[in-house]
Amino acid sequence: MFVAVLILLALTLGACRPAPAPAYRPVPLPPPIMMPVPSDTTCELSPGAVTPAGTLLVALPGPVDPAHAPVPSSDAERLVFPQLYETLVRVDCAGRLVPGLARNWRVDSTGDWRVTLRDGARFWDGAPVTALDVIASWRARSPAWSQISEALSTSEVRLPARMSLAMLAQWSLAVTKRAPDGGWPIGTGAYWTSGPVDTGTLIVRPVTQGPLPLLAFRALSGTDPRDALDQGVQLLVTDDPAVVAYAATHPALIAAPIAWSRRYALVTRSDTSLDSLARQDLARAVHAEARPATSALACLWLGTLKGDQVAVGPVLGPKRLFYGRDDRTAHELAERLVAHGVVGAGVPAVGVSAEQLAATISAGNAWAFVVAWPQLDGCVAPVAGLPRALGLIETRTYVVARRGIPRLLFDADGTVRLAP
Amino acid sequence: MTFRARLLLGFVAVVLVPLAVFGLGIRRGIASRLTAQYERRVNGLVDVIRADLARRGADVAARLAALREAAVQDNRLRVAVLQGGEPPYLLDYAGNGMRLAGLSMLQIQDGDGRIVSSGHFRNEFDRREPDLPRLLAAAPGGTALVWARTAEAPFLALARVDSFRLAGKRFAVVGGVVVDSLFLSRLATDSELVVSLDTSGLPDTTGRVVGVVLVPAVLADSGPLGTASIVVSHSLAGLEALRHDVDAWFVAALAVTAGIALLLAWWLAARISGPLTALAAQTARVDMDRLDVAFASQRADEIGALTRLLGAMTERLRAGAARLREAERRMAIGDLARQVNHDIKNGLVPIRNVFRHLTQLAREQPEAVGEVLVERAGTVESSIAYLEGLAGNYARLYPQPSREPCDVNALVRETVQRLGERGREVRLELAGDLPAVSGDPLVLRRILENLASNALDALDGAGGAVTVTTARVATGVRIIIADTGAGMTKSQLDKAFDGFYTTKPGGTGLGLSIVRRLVLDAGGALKVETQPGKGTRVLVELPGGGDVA
Repeated sequence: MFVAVLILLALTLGACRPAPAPAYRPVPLPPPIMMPVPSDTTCELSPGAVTPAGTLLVALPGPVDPAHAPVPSSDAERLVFPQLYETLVRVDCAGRLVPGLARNWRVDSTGDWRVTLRDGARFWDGAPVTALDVIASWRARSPAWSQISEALSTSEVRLPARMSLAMLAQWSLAVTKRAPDGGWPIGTGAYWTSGPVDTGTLIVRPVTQGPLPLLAFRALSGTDPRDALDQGVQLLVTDDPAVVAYAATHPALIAAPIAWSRRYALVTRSDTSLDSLARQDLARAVHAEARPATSALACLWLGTLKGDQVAVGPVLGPKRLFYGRDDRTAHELAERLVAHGVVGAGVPAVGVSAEQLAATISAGNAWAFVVAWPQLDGCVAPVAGLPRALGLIETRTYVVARRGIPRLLFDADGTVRLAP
Repeated sequence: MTFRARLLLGFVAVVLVPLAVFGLGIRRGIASRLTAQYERRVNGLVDVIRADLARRGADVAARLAALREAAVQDNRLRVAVLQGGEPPYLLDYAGNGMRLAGLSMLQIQDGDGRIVSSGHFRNEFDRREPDLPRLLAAAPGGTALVWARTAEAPFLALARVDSFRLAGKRFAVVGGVVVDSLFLSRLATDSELVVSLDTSGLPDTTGRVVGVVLVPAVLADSGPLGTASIVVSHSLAGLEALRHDVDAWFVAALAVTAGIALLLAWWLAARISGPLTALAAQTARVDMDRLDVAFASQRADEIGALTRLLGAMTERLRAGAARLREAERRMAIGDLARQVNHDIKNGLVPIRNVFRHLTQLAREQPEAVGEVLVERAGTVESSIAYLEGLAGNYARLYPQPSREPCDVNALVRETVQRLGERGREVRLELAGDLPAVSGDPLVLRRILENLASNALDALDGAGGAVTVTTARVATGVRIIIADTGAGMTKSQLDKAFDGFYTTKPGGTGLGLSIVRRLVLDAGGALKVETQPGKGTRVLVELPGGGDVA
């Protein structure tokens, strides 16, 4: 009601004065849909006989920011956060819905979903996790979900029947609560941490004493991953075929594909299209293991959007193709697209930081950009007025592990977690 | 034009003009010498850059030759190129080779001009660019600047071309080093020289000394072979700054010199023309009635001499004027004597006639003498009355001042006493050994009365004092009547001795004029010293003469 009054007031004021050129045009988006994720992996890796719990040294490919938790925004955070936080459900690399913080789910007599929390689920600080905690956690990051959900009891949450349960696997719906010191949010995962992230090594400890080892995430900091493996790193995730090939030659190492977890798309205002041959050419142009995108027309990643609106503003500056400069595959795709003039003759590629790329996308003022997102995240169908989003390629990463470490589970979004 | 203006202009011409010529000469000399020095340095660097480009071209050629030999020996490359195996290896081949060889660009093309591997732009493979090897091969010296494409932005490279054969198929290898600001700055061995690249045509030489090295260039994807310029320039900003400094200091020196010259000229003009102007003003006051103007100077220069000459001349004029007045007086007395003689004769003629008649009667008719005497007695009495009237008239006509020794101190006391109540305000400082002065006491009293009365009037009831001082001087006696009244301005003093000029309400303006005439008639001199607000001193000098009776 209050919002309606504000809108009415804004419309009234707008009618009384010349309408300024809008900085951007909000476009309402249709409800997200989940896409099936084909996989050719077993979603599990057992490197061998489990050694007694000790310290597992994990290579960290980049910095980790606790302020992002529990929603990972980089490969490094995608490696750390799944050990600390849980969603109600998970989608494994084969696209199967598996329990997470939820024990089970069912359809009640009204047709709505009833999700029951795991017995004995607790936060790191020992407090039990209740349905109210779940909804409070959603209220902080996904207010729309908190409005449509209802706590039926301490362990039961009701959701509308129209909602796909797979969407509960989005990291924005992970269950956390604010830490008293404002540091890492308190989660429900098998590990916890409160350590600093600027010392080069992040220590993550098991919540309960058991077979799980202590995890030490060590920053690679420009070190060749092969050197890191030779220096004792026991687990790393990579998309570099050279590293995978090296692991295959090392008797103490084992490499396994995780999933076709990353989809690259070109979002552009140019009137262009890509056929299957062009996408095959793009798959050939990158170092990572890639295949043409399964869909020519990509869906928009909700993670790049704010709320339920997407910005579409005027193009500022010369026409340029933006990409994340830390993403080698995006760089190579941008190179190939420029070489073919896909986004316009003479349009150059410009590498920017992840933060700058996110800001550029949010501002809606770019001519074109190359983005990547995990397969699992929700996406929406193309909307009239939005820039064209063309699917380019899909890539998959590999996990390289030293034999003898605990069992690993792979999810559809490419995350790797140690099996409890 | 005044003497002062001439003096100022003279100083300007003598001081400023040579200084200006000196400054301009220095400025021109600095500019020509520095410009020549800049040109030598630019030309020297141009020669160094030519040699350096040739050396770098040879260096690129050597690296391409090494890559060519390695490519021929590489079986994986052979398989990838000829059989299509290991596409990633082929795509990365040029990049790896480029980095190993230390090049900035490397491109391998097949015989059709299709790029099979690119080091600087990995994913431009399959693009056709057949003109580049041909144009490079045609470039003089085999080296040319080319635009190397990348996904972000093209860059300029100093490139050469080489080739190798695999299974009879020819492959061109184009490699080079980047020509960017760092490359150009390394060419500039002198920090004051700037090396830039100009691909647009003739460089702009405004404000700098320029040398150009022409380099063959492939500026478009397809021919013809063009030319780019490596421009060596030396900015003239330093010279301009030096000129500016010289100008600033020159203007400052000019201003200081001009100031000093003007002050000096003003001082000299004041020293020279000031006394002359004052002397001229003093001289202008001299006329026959005002010959008591004092020309006195202690200066030992020409102006002092001129002042003394004028003073002596005035003295001579004063003496001459006195003699002239005496001559006039005597002439007037002669005329008067002749008139008196005539008038007396006229009065005596009837008396003589009566006596002749009576004498004749006494001889011829003595009995009739009594009767005739009675008849003619009226005539005699009438004539005598006429003569008496005549004498009275002449006595009234000109009161002849007497010349007798006078006691000035006694006259002063008497005058002060006659002033009655006002005389009490007068202080007397009378010298005891005064000589007597020769003159008419009545005239001297009138002089003293006028001057003392004026002095008392000058006090204007506001207090103060009038002092009458007498003193012996070489020529006689000096009387000083001083008051502490309002004094006079210079213009008032100039007009004080004019007739009918007064500053007193009800005054006739004749007092000082009469005093002046009386003093001059007495053979004395009159001088007035006055300062506005401080008072007036009137100095009367009278000639001494005789003893007091």
